[in-house]
Amino acid sequence: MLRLVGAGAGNEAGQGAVTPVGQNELLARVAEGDQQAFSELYDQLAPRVLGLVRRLLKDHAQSEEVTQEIFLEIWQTATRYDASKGGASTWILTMAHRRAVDRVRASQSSRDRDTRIGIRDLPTDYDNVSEAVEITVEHERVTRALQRLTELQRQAVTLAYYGGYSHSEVAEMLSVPIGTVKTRLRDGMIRLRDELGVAS
Amino acid sequence: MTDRKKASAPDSGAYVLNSLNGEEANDFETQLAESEELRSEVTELTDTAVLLGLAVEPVTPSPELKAGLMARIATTPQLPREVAPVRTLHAVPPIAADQTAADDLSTAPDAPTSLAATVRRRWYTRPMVALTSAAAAVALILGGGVLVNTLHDNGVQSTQASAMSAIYSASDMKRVIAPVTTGGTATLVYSHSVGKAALILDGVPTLPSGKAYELWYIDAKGTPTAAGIIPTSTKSTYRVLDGTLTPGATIGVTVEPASGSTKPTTSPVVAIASA
Repeated sequence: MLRLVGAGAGNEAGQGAVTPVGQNELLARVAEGDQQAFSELYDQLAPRVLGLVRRLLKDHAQSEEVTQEIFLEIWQTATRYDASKGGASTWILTMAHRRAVDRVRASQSSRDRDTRIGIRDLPTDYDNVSEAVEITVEHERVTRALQRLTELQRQAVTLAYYGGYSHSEVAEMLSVPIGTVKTRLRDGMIRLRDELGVAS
Repeated sequence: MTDRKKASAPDSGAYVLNSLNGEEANDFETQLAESEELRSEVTELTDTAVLLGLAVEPVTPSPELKAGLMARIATTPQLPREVAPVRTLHAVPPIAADQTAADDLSTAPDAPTSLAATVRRRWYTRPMVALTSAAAAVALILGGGVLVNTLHDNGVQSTQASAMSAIYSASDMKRVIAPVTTGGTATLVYSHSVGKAALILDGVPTLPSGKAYELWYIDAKGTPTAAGIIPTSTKSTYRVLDGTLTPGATIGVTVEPASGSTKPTTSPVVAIASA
């Protein structure tokens, strides 16, 4: 677990680590209609996007479909991307999460059954990733940071982000009022921000 | 107002995690527009959420996903910029594959201009479902202008994309994946109702300069007919085969001089039969 020196110290800016130089430039070229730039941007970020989407949707075929929709949206709306509001990977991962959640909500009925078992899945939900052969620096840092949260903060954040559950679903699953869930989500995210050294 | 502001601050966590319902998210965004402090918090928490996303193990998409996507973007207009969209139309540099294809096609009865016109007509009749209504009218004009110019400069690439879309949307589309002997995979997608096949190469070795992959139709007697060139400047690429696919034809790939050969000069690195 505690490998890598570079995990905390090397990447003080946070964003520096996640946005290799080039993606912002590629996205700017995509906004000019450059299909080759789009191809390169896709190669760099599609595995990230698909990984995230599949985390929420589970089903691989459906995840690929959503990933294609996300990249089509990137192509269409790159002209509206505002670099002053964050890097290309921030814009794209944020969009990817939102679209994955949209899809989860759209197939809500099939999920009502899952809500009960969601909790049982929870403890392994992020630990599983550490068994992967290739452990990313980001993963290492995030796993450590998640361990600094209180149990309830961690459950709420994990269910919301990796499970795509709404605050009312999280409230039901954890048997606490919605207001409490919102507070935990905010406190948990602020704690994560500080642990991960994210600053604007 | 003050009450609402107070009430909305705790929503920032749920907002960046996409955990609010639609109405709450709209309310929150109204608050966001009014408060610099809240915006700053949301920016930081959004970056934090992105780190949660990047911590997930990446998953490699199938090569067809990219091929289908590249085909779609070639015929999908982009939204105009929000401010004074006087846009310098800028030609996508043609990649070598299309250059070669253009040479091939110029001798064929289907000249690129008429094919481009076909694509253009198709686009104009396509419903603009992906665009928001407010932007749609503007995009229809500006997007159309962009597309026409793109096609003018790069008609063959769009033609390839259009043919690829036709194969993918055919009800009898079939797909066969085979390993390439020198590494990587070849995926053949084809439709007999469309009469077209496309080959997607993924992870194949980059060839030395002056060499390219050449595609062949091979009939039952083993007679090859040239069907186009794929240079390997990229790891993943596709090509819709020239000519018409006949039932039972085998699609083979050989390494040839970059300009192509009239007959194969090396053994196939992969051969896939279409059923």
